[in-house]
Amino acid sequence: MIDETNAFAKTTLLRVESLSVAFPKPAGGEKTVVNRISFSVKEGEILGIAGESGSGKSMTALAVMGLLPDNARCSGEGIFFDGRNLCAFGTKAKKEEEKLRQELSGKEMAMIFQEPLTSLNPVLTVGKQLEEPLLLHTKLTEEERHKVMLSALAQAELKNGEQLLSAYPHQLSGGMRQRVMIAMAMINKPRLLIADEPTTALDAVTEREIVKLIRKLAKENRMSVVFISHDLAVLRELCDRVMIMKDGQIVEEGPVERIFEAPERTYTKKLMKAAVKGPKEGTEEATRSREENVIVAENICVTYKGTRGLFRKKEEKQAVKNVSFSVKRGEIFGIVGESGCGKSTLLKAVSGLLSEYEGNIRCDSGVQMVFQDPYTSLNPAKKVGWILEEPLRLKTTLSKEERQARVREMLKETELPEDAAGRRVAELSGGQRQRVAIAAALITKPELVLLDEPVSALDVTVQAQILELLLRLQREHNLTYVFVSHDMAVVRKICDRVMVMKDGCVVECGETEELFLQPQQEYTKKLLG
Amino acid sequence: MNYFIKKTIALLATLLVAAFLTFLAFEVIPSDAALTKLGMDATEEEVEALREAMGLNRSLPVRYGDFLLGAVKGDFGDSVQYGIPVTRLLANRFGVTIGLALLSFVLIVGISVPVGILAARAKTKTGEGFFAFLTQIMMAVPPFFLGMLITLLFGIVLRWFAPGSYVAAGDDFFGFLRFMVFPAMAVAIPKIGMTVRFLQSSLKEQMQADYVRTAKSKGCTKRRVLWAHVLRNAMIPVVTFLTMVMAEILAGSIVIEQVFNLSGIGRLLAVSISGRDYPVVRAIVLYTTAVVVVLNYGADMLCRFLDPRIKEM
Amino acid sequence: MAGWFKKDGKWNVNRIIGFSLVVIALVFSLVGCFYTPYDPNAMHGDLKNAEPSLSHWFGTDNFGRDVLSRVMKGAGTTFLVGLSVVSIGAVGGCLLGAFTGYFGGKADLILMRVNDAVAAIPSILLALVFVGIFGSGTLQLIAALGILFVPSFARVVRSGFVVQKELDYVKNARLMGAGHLRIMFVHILPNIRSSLFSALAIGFNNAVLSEAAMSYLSLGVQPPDASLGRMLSEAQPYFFRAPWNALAPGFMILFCVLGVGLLSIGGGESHD
Repeated sequence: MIDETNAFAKTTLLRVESLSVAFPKPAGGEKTVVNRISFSVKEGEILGIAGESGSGKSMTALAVMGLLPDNARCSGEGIFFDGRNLCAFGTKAKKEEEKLRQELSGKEMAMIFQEPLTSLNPVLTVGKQLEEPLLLHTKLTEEERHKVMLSALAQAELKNGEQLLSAYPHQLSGGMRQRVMIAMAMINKPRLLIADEPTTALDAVTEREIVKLIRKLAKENRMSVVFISHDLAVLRELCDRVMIMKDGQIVEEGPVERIFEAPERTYTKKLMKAAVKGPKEGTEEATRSREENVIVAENICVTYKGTRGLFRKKEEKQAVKNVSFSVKRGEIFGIVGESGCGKSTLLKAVSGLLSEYEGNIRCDSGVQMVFQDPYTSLNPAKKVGWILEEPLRLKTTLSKEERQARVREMLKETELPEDAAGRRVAELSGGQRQRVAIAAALITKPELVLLDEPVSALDVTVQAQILELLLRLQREHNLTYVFVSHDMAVVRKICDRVMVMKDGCVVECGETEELFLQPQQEYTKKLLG
Repeated sequence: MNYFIKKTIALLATLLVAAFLTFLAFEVIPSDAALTKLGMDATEEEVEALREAMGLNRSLPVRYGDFLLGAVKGDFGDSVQYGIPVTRLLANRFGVTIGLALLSFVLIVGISVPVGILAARAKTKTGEGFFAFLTQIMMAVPPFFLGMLITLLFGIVLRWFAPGSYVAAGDDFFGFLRFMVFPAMAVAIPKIGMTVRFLQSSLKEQMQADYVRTAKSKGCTKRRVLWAHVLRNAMIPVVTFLTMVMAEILAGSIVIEQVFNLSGIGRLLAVSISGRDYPVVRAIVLYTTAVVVVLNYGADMLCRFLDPRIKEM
Repeated sequence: MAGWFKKDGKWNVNRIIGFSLVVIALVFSLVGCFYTPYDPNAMHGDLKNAEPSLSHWFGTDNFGRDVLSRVMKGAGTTFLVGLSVVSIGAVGGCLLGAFTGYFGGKADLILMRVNDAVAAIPSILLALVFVGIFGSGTLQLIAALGILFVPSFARVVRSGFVVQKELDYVKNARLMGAGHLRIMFVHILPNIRSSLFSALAIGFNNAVLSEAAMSYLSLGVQPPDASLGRMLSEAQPYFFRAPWNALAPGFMILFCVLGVGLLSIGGGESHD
């Protein structure tokens, strides 16, 4: 972290004065997504902007870079970069503004984005794309450009530079693509780097490497960074100063230590509390009552046989290798691992969605499931009431009135408004949708519920609410959960027992707190960071 | 190289299947070629003898083999109506149809690409609405009615060309062009509407893509973003679309040849169907299908060149 | 109702024009079913190719038949053919596309290859061959075009199903115990309605244009029945002497197809 006295001596590189961004609404009028915010970034400083979805943090970044969508309306006093006003909001001719932008973008200021795959042009080689900022902003010869490109790739810790230059983006891994993006942004040694959720699409281990790389490059080149993320842990590791945004406004701003250790505003405190997840409360008494097994799975193997073409040979991939576990009645059993470790496949086998597996699964109860993304797990063409009634129609002989009464009861239990039954899924927020999904799973009163990353698509504060709801429902109805997640903190907060998986195998399995405090395997330690 | 071999094998297989279907279609026709040839008055023995001579009594696979062999050698038998070999009948007319199709294609590509780019850049609601209306009206005119309107306007009122005065390209190339541009317009205009709309939506989709943001963040001008980044991505689906359009052009020329009194393949097809001249119909269908299949093959190759993501089938 | 004609608070001119054209064409042909000013097939030897006048609004044709009456009757025939063709194509395509898309497997691969092959060949060429084999006439035409329209609908529905069946709500429905048919037609089908609607509009237009082209080539609707394409074909020889004979049915087709086309533009966006 930076020495405070030194930081004040530094000059301001970027200054944003009362910036607003608004979009036209389909029904007429405007929706303001960024509301008169002002902030500045000093030379060599790393500023983090945190906030949940819809807080306006990404729009702020795009406005600074001049990349807002065409229908956005931007207003305010100015965005000053090194004393020059980048957009004078109408007072300056548009052409002139565009020219200044083109001169600075890619040379003095650069940006990296969330999705490295779509952010790279799919039909051009890495070399062609890496070369573009050099062609646009320098007068280097072809040979010199080649040399600069290779050194930029090396700086981004990419090996085999020569080979990479002739590769296409789809041939690289996610982490490599993001490194290419970083190399491209850094190639002209910009003074300001804007990073918009650059690690969100990556897995935990790659995320840490990319964050370290950005910090290293920033310090080596005395470059300022504006780093946007919803992940507070990442910001804490990386930034000098943090700014919390909500509903288009800045809630709180200050040095990273101060914000994390002594937050002043209620919203910041709420955010911190939701993000830092401690151990589960009241585990002791719950453990005693659990005796009987609900699920016993022995030596489960799942092999995917991909058939691509009519006459093609089948490709085989073993997704789950010889996994055995059991779940007791009334417990919350967690399965954790990175993407591709086979945890979701295992869950599918248990639920019956996947019938082609080897081994034995004994399941003494009807199964319902809650999926990760409530946007796709609820039928968008139907109303909430219809969706909730459907399982009753299929599994019970209740009359229409009885079904509707049960729907109302369930809405109340999942803390949804009563009129939600008449609305379509598209009219609900992400958290409300996940509540509907939970209600649909519980409406037939099953004993066992499988939860496949049920909170991963949600914002942190909503996450906390949904976890609370799940815990309450589990206690009240003595439910058994199998909870699959990649998020160690969430698992620790909710699960009684945890199984860690990697490449289709079980790494270790045990009581949650024991496993978190004394992990036996290297891989578990690595996952815990 | 693997890709080319696979695609070529697929091409040959498709051609074989298409040939078989064409062959089969005319086998199920409830009519007897021998009877048709001899007329109703022929005796049982005469018909039987001719059937034997024509090879109609042999088994289906044998006749298919014969048909294939004939097709490869360019021998489709004799036309019932004209009494001359089908191949010779077609040879005279290929030039007209191919000339019409090529000229229409040039018009379509030449007009659609700039207009499509213009339409994709339209920002206001009025501009978008205008292009939507324009393309819709182009697609709504029946091609033969369009041909009649063009004849009326350019042939009778303005006298820019004399209706029915076709000039062969070999005799006078510019005279050929001056005449052919009008039927070509009639073929092209509905397809231009379709192509403009397709290209516009493809371009718009690509302009929303994340890599466009990246390009702008590197300091690319709008022009460079369009030409160096967007266009190539947007053209990939358009290439496949244009192949389909080319097939439609061939179909469209059937009616347009009728309107402009051109003696091409399409006109011959219409006449042959009315006259139940099946050897001619069969040959034309087979040739047209072969052209379409080969065009698709070409489009696949071009797409592979444009899009590095296509590696395998 | 007014909101339906507006977009972002502005009048959607294209939709208004489209709606008016479709209404006019519909009224025209519906009235034609019950009432025409003259008998559409009655000939008057002394009134050949008469110019438009108060008694004959669109003039008369080469046999002295009233063009207005024939257009009214012909529009009805043309629309009937268009609707029948689209119905056959849509029902067949929905079933085929739903089953192949939902179940996948080898049957799907083979069927889609065949579908691609059929779609690659221009539909009018196939329709011509079909009519060549089974003879010409209105019913044959409907059957030929209807069958030929199945692949394009099947393709639209199949691609919708391929995407939708992977979504979690389908897995959820399976866990709830919904059967395959219920999942296909109650859960999934409503989700592809917007692409199905635009396919219906495009299909109807193509059917009308194909009918016109086939009848123009004398291979569709047979005389003395009036159809718009048939009328155009009969009018062509006298086009320079009596252009009204061709202009009336030609613009009728144009207005109808343009109307449906304009209505279908952005028809799917109205929900957002």
